[in-house]
Amino acid sequence: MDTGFINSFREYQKAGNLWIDLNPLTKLSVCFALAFSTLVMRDYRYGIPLCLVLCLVAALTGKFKEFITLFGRLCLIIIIFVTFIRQIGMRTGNVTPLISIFGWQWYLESFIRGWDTISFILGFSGTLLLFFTTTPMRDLMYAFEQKGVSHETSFIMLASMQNIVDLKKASVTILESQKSRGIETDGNILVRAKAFFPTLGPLILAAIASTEQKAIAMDARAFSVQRKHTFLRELAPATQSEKIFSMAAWVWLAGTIVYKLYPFVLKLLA
Amino acid sequence: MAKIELKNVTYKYPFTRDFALKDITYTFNPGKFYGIIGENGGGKTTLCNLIRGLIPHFYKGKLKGDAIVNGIDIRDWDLGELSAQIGYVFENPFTQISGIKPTVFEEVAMGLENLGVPKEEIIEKVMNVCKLLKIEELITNNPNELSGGQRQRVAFASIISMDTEMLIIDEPTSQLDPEGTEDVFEIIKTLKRSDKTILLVEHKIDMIAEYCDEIIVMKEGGIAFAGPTHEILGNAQIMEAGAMMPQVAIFGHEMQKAGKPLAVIPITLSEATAQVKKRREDNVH
Amino acid sequence: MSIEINNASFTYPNGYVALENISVTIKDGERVAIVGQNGAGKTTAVKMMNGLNKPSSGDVIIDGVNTKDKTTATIAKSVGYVFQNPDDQIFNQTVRAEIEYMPRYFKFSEKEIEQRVNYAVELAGIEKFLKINPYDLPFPVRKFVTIAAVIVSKPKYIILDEPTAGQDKHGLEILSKMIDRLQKDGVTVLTITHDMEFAVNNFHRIIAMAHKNIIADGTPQEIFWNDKVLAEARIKKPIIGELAMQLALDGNILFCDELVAKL
Ligand SMILES: Nc1ncnc2c1ncn2[C@@H]1O[C@H](COP(=O)(O)OP(=O)(O)OP(=O)(O)O)[C@@H](O)[C@H]1O
Ligand SMILES: Nc1ncnc2c1ncn2[C@@H]1O[C@H](COP(=O)(O)OP(=O)(O)OP(=O)(O)O)[C@@H](O)[C@H]1O
Ligand SMILES: [Mg+2]
Ligand SMILES: [Mg+2]
Repeated sequence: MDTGFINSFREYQKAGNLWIDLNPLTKLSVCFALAFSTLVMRDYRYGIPLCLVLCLVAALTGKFKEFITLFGRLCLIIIIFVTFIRQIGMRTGNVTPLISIFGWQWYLESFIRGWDTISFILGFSGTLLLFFTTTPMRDLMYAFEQKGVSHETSFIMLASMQNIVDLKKASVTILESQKSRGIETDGNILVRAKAFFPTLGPLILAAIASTEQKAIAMDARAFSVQRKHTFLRELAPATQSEKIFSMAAWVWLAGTIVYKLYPFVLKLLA
Repeated sequence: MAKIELKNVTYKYPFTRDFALKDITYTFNPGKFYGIIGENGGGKTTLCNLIRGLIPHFYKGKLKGDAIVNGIDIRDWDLGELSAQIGYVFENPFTQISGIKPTVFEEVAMGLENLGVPKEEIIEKVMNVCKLLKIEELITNNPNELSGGQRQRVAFASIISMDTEMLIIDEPTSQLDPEGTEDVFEIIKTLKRSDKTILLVEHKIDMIAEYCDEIIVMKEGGIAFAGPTHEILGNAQIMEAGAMMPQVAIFGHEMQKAGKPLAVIPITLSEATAQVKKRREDNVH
Repeated sequence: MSIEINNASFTYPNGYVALENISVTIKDGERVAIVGQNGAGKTTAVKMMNGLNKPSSGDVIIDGVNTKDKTTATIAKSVGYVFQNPDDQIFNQTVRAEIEYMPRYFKFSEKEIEQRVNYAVELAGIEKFLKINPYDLPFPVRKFVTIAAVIVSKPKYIILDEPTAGQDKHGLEILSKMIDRLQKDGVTVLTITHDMEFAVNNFHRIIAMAHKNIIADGTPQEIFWNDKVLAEARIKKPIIGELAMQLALDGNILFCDELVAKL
């Protein structure tokens, strides 16, 4: 038997990484403060470096691949989308045509003007993404429960996250089931769509059935008994320095607000 | 010590025409090991659902008669409280795994966490149970990435680790290899020694014959036969109720037909061996 | 014509090696049982035969064709697989819809559909459940639904993964008859089972698996009277064989009539 693994339950869970081992609530607080600071700044000179920092933190926690696959896609979508919106109404004035896609003319200015918006959206969502890729849901729920959120509430949140995973698993299951009856599900997008769409209904019904099953399964584990629960897996409470770190993040946010408001206030005074 | 009294219990699942339980009257006494056998669809699982309170708390339908668990009517029980007293191993092991725990060890520990057992005790208990079920090599595995039999072991371990006063066990060995099946029966036997009331649904009649005190044969929602193991399993009539007979009992009957009768119809291997040996000796003299 | 596995290994995405260099041939018209310990790799191995699992090394050859570049769907047309867990297979809302799914998908004629469905339903003995939602059926009946849903596609080979789990006497009889009938109709049947009585009563060739490999392949007598195989595969003699052994009878007895005759 893996005694190292068993012993890990006897103390606070430690991944041996500074960021990962922060209390989930500290992480949450810091991430929120940073996310809002991008909202306040709305400046690519702030947002882009922040995104780079996010990537760096992800890399240092060993979650770079997970983070970047999602974040990379997000970047691509947001950049294209915002540029697209921005270039509407760009036809007149002093503009530099760039390329033409299917007759749509894209202008250099639309890229430049979009950057502030892009960097704010990416900075904001990137920070939250970093939080969720580096914090297991159950750790977050554990931290909430420690703060007095009820076991039921935290379970429902956990289970709803789980439902997304389950749904994905169920769709794989149905595809495998089709394959094993000779129905082609791999190949080009048309083949896949043809196999997939008829299964959407069953998928949802299966999800409902499995939710019911899960409720019964949880009940069998004495889930709803009115007693104080034990936590096999415990996380360290936030330390003093963590609290200071979290506070610093909020001071930072306050700083950005002051920075933004400062010229405005000066103007008012003048 | 759990006592269960059923008086004229009748039950129908919602949206169905036929009754799944028909006028059942029976008392399960504390500290005994009951084997429930009978044909598919006979109502065995439904009976388990009722005693565990899933009927009427989860499955609505139409319930008549009285089902009294430890002096309290099943309708009045708080399901959470009941779950701390009666462990229930499901017929379908694939649905018993919660799916919210990333390792087998945590999966098995979950019930104990909910019961508020101190952490050290949880670790001890889980380690013990995992050893008993020979899944100690799997404790760090993801419960969703196991073979069918391994999952059934985890499901069983998850419930017996909770150490409830009473256990309802619905076909715990359907996916197990023969050695695993024997392990499970041995475990149940040791549980019985700690004075638990045990209801076991099982098709593996040869195992039932070795281990159970009392047998209940269900057919079409009713109890067709009930009584001490020996009385019921040697009786060829249970085959007509769709139940199987132990292989050695069939052998006993075949010997009779062949004009080489044994003194008693055996139901366990050791009895059969003894009977045949005795017959040989008698023939020598 | 055969299913042939040559020196194949399989590794799960999490890195676990579940099969190491296994080789086996199942010939046309045979009926074969696979037995062996939990986690030995039985399910993993048969899923390799119908392409749900692609070997990480080695080959799977069906009727002389290497399946390396074939899709699961193509392979499955000749090798049908009934999942161990019926919930992994069922996704329609009535038993009838589940069984008709394949022939309807391929737009067979109504007559053909009816013929195939009737054949499958009769073999599986589930006539009276056609209108019911499979989720409301007990586990063993659900298993028969999944079997019918594979029979309906008329594959040349059918692999049943633990069909005996949870079956009563009647269910086992249906299975037994079904296998006879399938064989008569030219289908090769491969069954994984933990029911030793069922294995010896219905199969002439038994494959025993243990720790990621096949450890024995032979007649019931060769498997069940070999103590080393029994111990390694964590299987047991059928109880009649056990009795014969306790009585120190020779002749590798496994069946009741043999035993009665011997005494
Ligand atoms: N959830 C359900 N909804 C509707 N009907 C059900 C449900 N579960 C069981 N039934 C029906 O109730 C009857 C009794 O089923 P039950 O599952 O109790 O039988 P069983 O004796 O446990 O059989 P098995 O040996 O197959 O497990 C069957 O006719 C079955 O179809
Ligand atoms: N999805 C998976 N990911 C990783 N490992 C797996 C997965 N499924 C099964 N395994 C492992 O592979 C091994 C073989 O599993 P397999 O399901 O083939 O066993 P089996 O012989 O069919 O057993 P059983 O009789 O219990 O069904 C087991 O040790 C199991 O833990
Ligand atoms: Mg049942
Ligand atoms: Mg298997």
